[in-house]
Order: sequence, then C-alpha cells, then structure tokens
Amino acid sequence: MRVIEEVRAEDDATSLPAENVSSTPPSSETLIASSFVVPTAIVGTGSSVGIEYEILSVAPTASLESAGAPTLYPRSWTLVTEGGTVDGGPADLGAGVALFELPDGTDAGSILGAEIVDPLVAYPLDVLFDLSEESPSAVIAPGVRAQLVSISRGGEATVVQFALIAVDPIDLAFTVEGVGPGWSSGQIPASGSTVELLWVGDELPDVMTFRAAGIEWVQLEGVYPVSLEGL
Amino acid sequence: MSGPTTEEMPWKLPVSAAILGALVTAVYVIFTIVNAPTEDPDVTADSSISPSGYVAASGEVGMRADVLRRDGQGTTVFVSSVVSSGVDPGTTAPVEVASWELSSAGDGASMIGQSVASATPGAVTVEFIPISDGKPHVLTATLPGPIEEVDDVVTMLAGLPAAITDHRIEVGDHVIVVDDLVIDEQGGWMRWHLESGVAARLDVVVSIDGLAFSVSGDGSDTEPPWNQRRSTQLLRVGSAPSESDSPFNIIVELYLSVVTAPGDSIEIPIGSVVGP
Repeated sequence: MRVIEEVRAEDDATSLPAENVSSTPPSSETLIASSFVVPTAIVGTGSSVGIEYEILSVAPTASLESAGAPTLYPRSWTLVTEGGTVDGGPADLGAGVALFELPDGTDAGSILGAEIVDPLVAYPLDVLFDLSEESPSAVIAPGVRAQLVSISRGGEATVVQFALIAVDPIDLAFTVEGVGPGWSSGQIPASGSTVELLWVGDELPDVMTFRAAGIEWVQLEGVYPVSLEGL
Repeated sequence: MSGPTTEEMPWKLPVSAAILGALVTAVYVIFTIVNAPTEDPDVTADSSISPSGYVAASGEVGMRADVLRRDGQGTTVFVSSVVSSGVDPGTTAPVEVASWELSSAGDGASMIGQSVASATPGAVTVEFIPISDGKPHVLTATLPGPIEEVDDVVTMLAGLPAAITDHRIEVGDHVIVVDDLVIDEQGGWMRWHLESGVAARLDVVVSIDGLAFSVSGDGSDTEPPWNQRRSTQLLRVGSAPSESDSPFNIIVELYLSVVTAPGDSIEIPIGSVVGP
C-alpha cells in the first residue's frame, strides 16, 4: 500500500506573490497525481456528516481550451472518529462533498480526520481494438470490452453494431471510431448502449479495427490522509 | 505599501485564488528535496525528486509515473505532471516527451506509442510491449532535441476515393513514410511511420478544388504527441463534392515535424506497479 506524502504550504507562503497569498491559507491539501484535494468545511447535523472539498489541478494547462473537468475522483473515503472508522464518499464525480453516516452516539465533534482510499485518476486513452465475426469480443481496457452485435449490409453501406460493456459505468468515457478508409468519420460517444458505425465501400474487412479515444480512469491504490485541522 | 485587496485579485475567486496560491507554494517544495540517484550516464544527474515522487522535467514542470500496469496485452505507464513554484498552471505548457523507454534488469523496451488528451492536461499514457515481471523497472523520458519542420504538397487530379501510397518525405537524413493516405467522401484516413529519427508528427490538410475538405487529428485542441508511427482519421470539414463534378483537383498538404536527435533524458520515478 502506497501513501503519497502530504506537502504543506504554510511554511513557504511568504515566497508567493502577494496577490496569491491568503491571510487564511487552507488547513491542508492532499496531493493525488496532479490534483489537490482541499477540504473546505464539515457540514451536516446529527448522524449525517459531509466533508466539502475542492479539487484543484496543478497540472500545466497552457493552450488547452477544454481543460477544466476534474481528473481526480476521490470516490472512497474513510472517516476516522474517536469511536472508529466510517466509510463514505461523494455521490458522484462532481458532488464535491463526501457523505458519511455516523454510528449512534457519535457526532461531528468526534471526527479526528479522514482518508481517501484508492482514488481514481483520469489518464489519456487511445487504443486500437479488432472485432470480427470470428472474434466478436475485444478488451478495450481493464473492465471494458466491446462486443459485436450485428453487421447489416445494404447497398453500398454497411452498419456495424457493437456494445460497449463496462464493469463500472464511469469507464465509458471515450469515443469510438473506425480505423481505415471507408468508415464514417463521425466519432460516436460511448454511452454504454449499442454503438453504430457506418461503413461505405466495396468489401467490409473481415477484421475491423476501431480506435477508442478519451479518458481511462485508473485506480491509484493507496490511502491518502486528509487533514481536517481548522475546519 | 499595501498589497492588492481581495476585490483586486486577478482571478476574482478569492477562495480559489487563495487556495491555488497555497498550492503553488506547496508544489514548490516538490523540486527541492534530494537529487535523484542514477547510474546511467545518459540520464541527467541534476534532476531532483520530491517526497511525492515528481522529478523535474523542465524548470517549471515535474513528472511522475503514477502507475505501471502489466496485463496480457502489454505494459502501460500512466504519467502525471505538476507545475513548480510560483508558476500559474494556466500559462505553463506540459512537457513534451519525444520517446520513452522502459527497462528491467537488462531488458529494455521502446514505446509502442504515447497518447495525450486535452481533458487530462499534463498526463501521458505510454504503451510498451510486455516486459519481464518481478523485476524493478526504470522509466526514461527522452525530451526532443533538434526539431526540423518540412512542408510537402501532393496534387492529384482524381475522383473519390483517392489514395497516396508509400509516399516518402526526406527531412535531412531522416525519412518519414506515409504508408497510406486515403481520401474518401467521409474524410479519409492516414497511416505513417518514421524510418529513422527519434519521433515525428504529421498534420494533413486536404482541399478539393480549392475548398477545405478534411484535416487530420481528432478535433481537439491538443497537439498530437510525438510518435514513431501513427494512424489517423481525417475529419471532413467541408461538403463532399458531388459525383458529377469529378475528377477533382485534390491538394494534400503535409506538415511534418521530426525530432532529429534526442535531447535530455530523465529518469521518471514509478509510483506503483500493478498486474501479474
């Protein structure tokens, strides 16, 4: 199990340009890949507690107009309390709050800290895969595969249908296109349903090659402490 | 002299700006810890590595291989990048790597290919052939050395589909071969490889009868990564000419960049290894 050490900012804050310095720096940051998880508040009443957090990227993004979507998904959290640990996490990728149900007799005052467990990090995905009537299934990435459904020939056009099947729906974060001449150049968003691609040409290749391009969520195995000091 | 007030902060997001300011400082710590040990004379010795495992790939950007994954299909390395002290991520470009090498106890493997995406800034996925398991791995990134750029134009009087096959382009002592370039009503497709040289990238613009018709790439705002071979779909950007207009005057403009010599090599730390 690997733990990335937390890097504290407070000691060096005076080296920053004045306009970047806050009089109340965040109490802690947890670096996971190129993103910081910054807890900003503990909210909730009674047994339901949430830790609000921001994810801030320190990846270089110059000239990337579409940059900005989260590339870190801290999906699983463990809350450390005086009475033990409680598992929880955000409802979805964009939630920004990790939710926990505290056991009876425990309240927010007993929270000692939190940990992020095995977070998901987004990396580029660009892979080729082959499908044919003889080999109708292909692995795109771990837990993700394509399954040929049908080939419908009609006139000069042929419609190739295949399903994208993922153990975890978050992994369907890519588009698919045919590789080679004859395929419609439109990229088909992967939605988990059947994908249709149009082939225009003389003879459909026996082995059809496709490209999946987009994002692959990779689990970074480890426990990443999150300090709640000052919240 | 007083500093700017919260209202004068350029980012207009006081909380985020404050947090980001602290974060930039935090990353400053990253490049100033210890010197990375190396026994390879080709690997720069002045790289520094942080407790979080990022090594300086440039003066402003650090890189780390977060995960090395082995499976039956090959070996994949997932790399992330962070900016350094006082640097605004929004004005800092990711470090481009010309080629990657993965070695393990004497076995070495050059990359099959690397990919980047605008949605994952600074992240790189590098594919290798399967390599020996159970041994320590060393990942080396070679930055681009000298880069030569050449433009080439091919003109055809043809109908659709039209094709170019085994078209060789010389760049100094180096040769890139366009194995196939097919232009059809959907846009087209291209496959190329580098015969010699470190890495290359190739952009294509096709015009028909003077009108833009198709371009290479995936339509994103990310420059394609350096590679030694690539197949690329040509996206149609204009209307397909009608059959009655054929033959067409087809102009294929090829914009080629070749890394003609390796630059600095950097040993990139590997965080974790998963797989059998």
